[in-house]
Amino acid sequence: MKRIISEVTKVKRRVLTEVARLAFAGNLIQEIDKLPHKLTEEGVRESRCCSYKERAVLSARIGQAMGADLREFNYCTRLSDAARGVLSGAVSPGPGVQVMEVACDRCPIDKYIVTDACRNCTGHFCAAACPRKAIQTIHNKAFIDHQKCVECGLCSKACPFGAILEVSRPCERACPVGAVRPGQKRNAIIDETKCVECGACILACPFGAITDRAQVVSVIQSLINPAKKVVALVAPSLAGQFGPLVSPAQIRAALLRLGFSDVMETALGADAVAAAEAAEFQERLGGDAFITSSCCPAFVNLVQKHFPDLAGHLSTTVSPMIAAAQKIKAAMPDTEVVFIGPCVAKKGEALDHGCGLIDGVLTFEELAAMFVAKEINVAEIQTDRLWAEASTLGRNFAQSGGVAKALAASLPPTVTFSPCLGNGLASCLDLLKQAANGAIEWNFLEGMACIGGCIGGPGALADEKAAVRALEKHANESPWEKPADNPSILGFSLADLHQKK
Amino acid sequence: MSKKVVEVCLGTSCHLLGASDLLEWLQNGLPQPFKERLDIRGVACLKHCHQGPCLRLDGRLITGASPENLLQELTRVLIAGGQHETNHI
Repeated sequence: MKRIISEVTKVKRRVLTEVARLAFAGNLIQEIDKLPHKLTEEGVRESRCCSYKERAVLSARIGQAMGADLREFNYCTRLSDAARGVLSGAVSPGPGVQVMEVACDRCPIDKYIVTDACRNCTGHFCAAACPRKAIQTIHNKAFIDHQKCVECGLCSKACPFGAILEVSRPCERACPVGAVRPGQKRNAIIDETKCVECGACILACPFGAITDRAQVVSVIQSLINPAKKVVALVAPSLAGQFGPLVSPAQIRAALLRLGFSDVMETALGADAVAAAEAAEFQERLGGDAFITSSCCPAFVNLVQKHFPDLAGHLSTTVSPMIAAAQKIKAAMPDTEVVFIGPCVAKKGEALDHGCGLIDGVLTFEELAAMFVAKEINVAEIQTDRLWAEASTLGRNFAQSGGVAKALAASLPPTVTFSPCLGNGLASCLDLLKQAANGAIEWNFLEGMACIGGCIGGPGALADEKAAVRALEKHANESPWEKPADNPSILGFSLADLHQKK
Repeated sequence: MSKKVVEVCLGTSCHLLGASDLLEWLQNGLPQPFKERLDIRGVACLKHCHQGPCLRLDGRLITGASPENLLQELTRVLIAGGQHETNHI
């Protein structure tokens, strides 16, 4: 069966919508304490043990939707106090991806479990296969001594009945860098020193217990303030995210209706980045064996946290988000810039490398909840306006292979450019390991932490296949094919598009 | 045999609750004998935004749609002759 969104995703989106509705109405503090009860009364359930637990979990979800720091959030926290904290801006930045302790079901930790299918056979293949002598027969059944077990899995393979089951926590399995582990209370814990904020565990947890922090409330606070001008900077992956009937131009019109003063394509920044990175590539190739892309923040985190020796190979070019924000802030310094995309790691990038250029980050999921809260149906918006600020190849940054293609088109044909694609975090990890061993045949690594590129991101709404079709259509509608054809990139000074060391 | 019309609401509210995934499932996940007797369309709004995902099957509104309850309804409409027992599920 095709991917159909789960009940837990529906609950999460419902909560986001209700929080956004209150924030737009300006009565968050007065009404938020009643929300968990209101939602359970309306039948929002996630099959927890009792309605008290349902409300406790909903309260944590509401805290997440408001952007509160969940580490400071427990069963005595009043939602109205948390709302006051968020509205006054007194929220600690904290880690981007967090576990909601109350929602975590403390799944089994032991990797191999003997099930009732064990017949205590005469063969005892499991015990014979075990290199650590960890299996004995107790109560007519094989028993694994977990003090001795090294989780090699040989017993499971040896059992002719398939009676030994391999179980692993979905959150741990989803994390290729081993950042999710069981804590003392057996609840999942995220090791911040390892986490690259890709968000794979958020999607993987069947209890919806892992989450990023929404900035819906603070963005709405700026939108409803008539004294503020807020520009929406939208990622190219927006094509197709609001359903098959909706064009990017309609999304643009809906954003203006939501209260944004202007809308800009991040892909314009991508065009400038392609030019800057191509120049950097030519300059550095003499000395360096290879350089890597730097537009995916989770990939940059992966290199910095897990391969610090290779960090020098990262391109110093800023991400398209930062490049585009620089341009907006240079022209209009008093404007706030909100980036909207499918990405969780951009929230951390905005804090760490944003240098005050990015005032907020929303995912497409959060934006859709805001549209619903404001009763804007994007599918019904009429617009005949054409919207083109970026080139075909700039818009294609949103899918795997897109950055490499844009770079190839920006380099002179005499330069040897042999790119290699890291598609998904596991693939990036493999390629970086090869690079660390020095055995590589490529000179450019495009690293994207989500499979398929940004369109496969955790904050995306559309099915990946539908998103690829929509992105290609959107990209091909641009009047310019290559980044260099786009006249707007003349407005960028390429020398300013590098991170200050 | 005339085809039964399925109109899937693709308004933002229904889309957020998975309507576009349902459309994709109807177009590519249904058994062929079902699919060839359906005329599947997307519509901008069915005016039941608080009860999504919504769709209209042979003129009848279905709210809170999921593959499970849709399969049941499709079986009733296509195989059992489509007698309307109730106005709502």
